[in-house]
Amino acid sequence: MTRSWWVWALLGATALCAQERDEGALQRATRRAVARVSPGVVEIEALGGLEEGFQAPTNEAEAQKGILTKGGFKQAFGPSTGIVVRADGWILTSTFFLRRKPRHLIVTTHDGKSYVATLAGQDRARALCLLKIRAKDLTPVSWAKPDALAVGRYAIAVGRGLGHEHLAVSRGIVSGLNRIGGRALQSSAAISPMNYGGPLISLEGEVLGILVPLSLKGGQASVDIYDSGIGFAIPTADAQQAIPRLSKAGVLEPGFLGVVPAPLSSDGVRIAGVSPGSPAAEAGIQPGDTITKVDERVTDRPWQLRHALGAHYAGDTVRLTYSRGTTTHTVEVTLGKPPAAQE
Amino acid sequence: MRRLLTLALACALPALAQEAAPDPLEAAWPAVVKVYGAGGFQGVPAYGTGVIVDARGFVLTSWSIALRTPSLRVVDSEGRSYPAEIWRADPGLGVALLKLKLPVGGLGGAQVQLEPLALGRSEDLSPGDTVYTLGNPFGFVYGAERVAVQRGVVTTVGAPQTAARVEKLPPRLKRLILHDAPHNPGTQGGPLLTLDGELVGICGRIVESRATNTLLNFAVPAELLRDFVREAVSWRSPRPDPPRDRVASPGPPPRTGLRLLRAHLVRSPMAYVERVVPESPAAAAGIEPDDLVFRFAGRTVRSCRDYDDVLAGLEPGREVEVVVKRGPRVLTLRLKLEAP
Repeated sequence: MTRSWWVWALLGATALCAQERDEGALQRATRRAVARVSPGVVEIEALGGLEEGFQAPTNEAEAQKGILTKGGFKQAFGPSTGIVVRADGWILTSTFFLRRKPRHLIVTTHDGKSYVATLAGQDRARALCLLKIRAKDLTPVSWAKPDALAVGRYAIAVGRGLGHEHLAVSRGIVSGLNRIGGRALQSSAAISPMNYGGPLISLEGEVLGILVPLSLKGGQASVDIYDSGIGFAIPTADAQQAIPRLSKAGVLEPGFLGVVPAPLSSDGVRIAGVSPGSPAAEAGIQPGDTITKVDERVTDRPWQLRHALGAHYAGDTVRLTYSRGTTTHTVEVTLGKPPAAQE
Repeated sequence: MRRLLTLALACALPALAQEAAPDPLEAAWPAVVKVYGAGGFQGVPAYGTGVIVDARGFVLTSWSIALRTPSLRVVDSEGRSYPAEIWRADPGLGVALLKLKLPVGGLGGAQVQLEPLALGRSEDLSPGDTVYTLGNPFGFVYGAERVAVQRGVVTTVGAPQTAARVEKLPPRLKRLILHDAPHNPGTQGGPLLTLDGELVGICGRIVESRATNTLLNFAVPAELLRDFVREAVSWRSPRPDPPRDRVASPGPPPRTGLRLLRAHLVRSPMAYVERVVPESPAAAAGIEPDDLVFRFAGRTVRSCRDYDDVLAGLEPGREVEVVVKRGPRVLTLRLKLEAP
């Protein structure tokens, strides 16, 4: 018994040394990981177009810079990054470049071949979109298994923001899970337009998530958080789930229920208000009700309700369990689009 | 018994760790110096960092206008302060070589032994490789205090500035190293080291990529510095004035026979082909009206203005690759530029 304890302790210590101290091994692993993912990382050029409402440059200097500003958001005109998810031409990326409503999308693969791309679908909740190019025999990325995703592990951000000939690499760690309504993971690698749409990979070269321009509160990221050590990625499991829906659905909106939780709820989320005409109102939810479950997920507190709903899109049907007075009810609710997304 | 063994293990651990990781900074410390120039105006810091690359007192640093002062001083790792002068300057490359005025001993012998760091090979660097920077951020490290170390990885090596449209880069820097280690004013001029402590670059100023709105940390790769140093250390006297880059008066661009659809808008429109001059290089290349030119001679063309810029930098007689979008297809064509 004592001896086996020893063997384990020694093995553990050696492993610790190898992982924590052997920078050489880390460097070799990083090189291998980058080389493994690289054929699946593509450049996306978005040509032409401007979103209406963006200010035109006010002077020649700004026009030269190619930067249009509105409300603190600085658009960039450089190349974006995407990843090959299927050999027959499906590319997953972020919606970053869609902000400028491009007229044409050109995907250039690692070997320098260019293709015209069409937009198959976009996920507005997760800032992801899916492109299709007419190609065969592309090299898809390898996805990491869910257990590879753990806070504190090394994570490498890979992009083609410098053009298709160059990889842009930055290394950090996984800093947090379940950020932004449970939709994103957080990483300390330098994340910016240089790699939005690209993969965040493990030291094994497998994709942990897709780097997206989400900000702390869920809106579009802006220069203030570029490369700040706080960046976000949509975890592999969610991205993989989104792909078939994106290829069919066109636009996926975040799911909207229409309740205002009372801030200090516990043992269920007490509802302080219900938006008139919202899915919650249609389903008969009233202020004063307490939501205790979304499907099988227990919602003791408001953040749990946010996470449970955050996993769904508009059009998804969820089963809410709520209590009113001493009785418990269940009701099926089809989530709507958030008011901002409704026409 | 168990406790004793735990103790033994605790002692063994640091030893193991030491063995696993030789200190990459050990050889660099004595060679890293603090550089004090003049100024501090217009965002140009008066302080920086440098590396002794030759025991006769030659220090490689990042080029800055702040170096141009008779009161230029360099403080070595022992805290000794020397007057210094610019021996060779090359703003185009982004570096300068300084010469320290070493004290002369009673019998004419050298009073101080400098420990230089030789330039290594930057050619073997790969994206993702670990790098260290040594520097004096904000000038807050003084005398014999050791400068600050930052660690990061190589973001990319090569010539990406065209794509990323980087501002304020030294104009003749054709290859560079980008890295993600934290970078602050004062780090410029300091060494970029590999895991093995090899000197692979000299850190430059922070620059901005206009294409991504991000700040980039670059280093001038050692491969571009070897000749610069080797030549200059054999000179008998300093040549502090940078060579004038011969600016060829821009002549007319080479002839392609392409006529783009131009509209006078605030933003230059995409480079759609309106007309192809018959029997021109463009016609020979197979370019057709309504083609959208989006890459020309390896550079991305987002607008007619980009096309003009690319063309202005090319020589007649060269054959270039033109990538166009024609309907749903992408075609790569070859076009031979003609004299205007």
